[in-house]
Amino acid sequence: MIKAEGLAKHYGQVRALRGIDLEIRAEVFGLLGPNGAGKTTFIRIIATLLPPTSGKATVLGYDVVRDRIPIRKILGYLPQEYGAYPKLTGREYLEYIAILKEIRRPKKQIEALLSQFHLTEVAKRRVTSYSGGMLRRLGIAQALLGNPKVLLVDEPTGGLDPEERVRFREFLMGLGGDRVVVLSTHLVEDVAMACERLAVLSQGEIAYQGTTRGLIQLFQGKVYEVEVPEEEVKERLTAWGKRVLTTKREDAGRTVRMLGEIEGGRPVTPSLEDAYLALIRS
Amino acid sequence: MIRYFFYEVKIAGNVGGWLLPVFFAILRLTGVVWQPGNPAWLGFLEFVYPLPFPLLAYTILEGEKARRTLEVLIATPRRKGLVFFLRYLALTVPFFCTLVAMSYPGDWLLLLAPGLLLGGFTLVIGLGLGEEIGLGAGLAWWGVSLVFGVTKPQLLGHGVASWLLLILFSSPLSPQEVLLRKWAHLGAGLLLLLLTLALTDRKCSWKLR
Repeated sequence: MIKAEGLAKHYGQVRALRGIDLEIRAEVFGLLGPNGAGKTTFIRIIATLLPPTSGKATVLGYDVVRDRIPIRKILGYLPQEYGAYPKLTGREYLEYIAILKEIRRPKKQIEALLSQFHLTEVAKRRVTSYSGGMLRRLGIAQALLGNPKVLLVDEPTGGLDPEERVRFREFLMGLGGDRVVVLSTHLVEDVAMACERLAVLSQGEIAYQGTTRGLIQLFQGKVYEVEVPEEEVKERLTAWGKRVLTTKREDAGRTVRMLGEIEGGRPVTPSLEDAYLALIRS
Repeated sequence: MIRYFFYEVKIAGNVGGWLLPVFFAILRLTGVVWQPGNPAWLGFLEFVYPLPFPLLAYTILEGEKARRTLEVLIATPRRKGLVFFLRYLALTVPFFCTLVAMSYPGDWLLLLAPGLLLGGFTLVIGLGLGEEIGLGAGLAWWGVSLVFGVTKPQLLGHGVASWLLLILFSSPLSPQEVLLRKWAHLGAGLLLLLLTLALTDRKCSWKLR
């Protein structure tokens, strides 16, 4: 379990995290929030890369400040900005990381991971020839070496094309079990597909913590959909301002989903994206 | 450990870097081009040999900034500072071999000390303020040392200048005094490399241009 109590991090005047209380069990847990919400800072504190300014965090009972080495031994980490070594092949890269993780006889595990993430065929190729999706898959494979009890994945689908993104989410779905997996992302679809529970971070604070269904339930009956003719779109959207959640282009105009009742609109079951946007905006 | 170091050499190394020691080894083995102990040759080497070290330091910093390879290592029991340190050593291996090929063991300190000091200095400044500032500072130190060594060698005979400037072949110092300064440079260079280790452990972001 990952537990944070009053966790705060300040960079000079900037308060990246403002006293976070959070509990993450053995599950695939989504950490959702807009850019700059403090997700990466939280992940980095848990990964023992950054010390918190105040508060406390523990990973499977180990303190992130005092017990850095024990935490690192049970951790798998895929950072937001991930780069592999261009001179190594995919297989060599995994072997190199296995040496650093002090895994004895890692070959079987490497081959299994290469196969699991569909990299066997390209394992002999240098990583410079890999696509963004292949690199991310190699990244998650290295994070899983040694079968870590805690896996931190920071913005894993950023920069991937839609097909790779869907594929990558499918991989993430299968990573839970008896492992704590924290998926930090600003993409609602990532969380919707892979996680049952999530926390929404906004401006360094937890805006919501619970199940995805619970978040949707919060805004049940509060989201309305209305058709807007094309010639009125600009004017209406300006007038409605932050109440607008999403817009979808149609043949004769747009379908607009909004927070709160609107004349001519009908109540709809909110999607996770609607609920998330409504939460952030309210 | 051997396999690990093999990987570090592969990651950091450059085949081109090995041409230099091979070239000098051939020249030396044929014995027809020069004598390694010739004072004029040593004087020339003293100002040329340290020059690659700031460039190597810049290369490794630039590579790390571009690819952020060390951050992944947080999920291993290894200290990323130590990995970075060993990677830098792996990068400099061909240059140590070059030193062996082109000079006698008694002259290694004379050549190696300013190189290690400039490399360590570039790494520390580069990690703290940015890799380009580090390279600039390292090259500036080398350039000032060269200018004074050539145009004002008498300044190198005493005081702070004799300790701070790196190229002493034309100084009026006695061989023992030169040796003492070279040992000091070597010690300072190693200390800076240790500081690099600590800085890399703490570093977790890079300023983007």
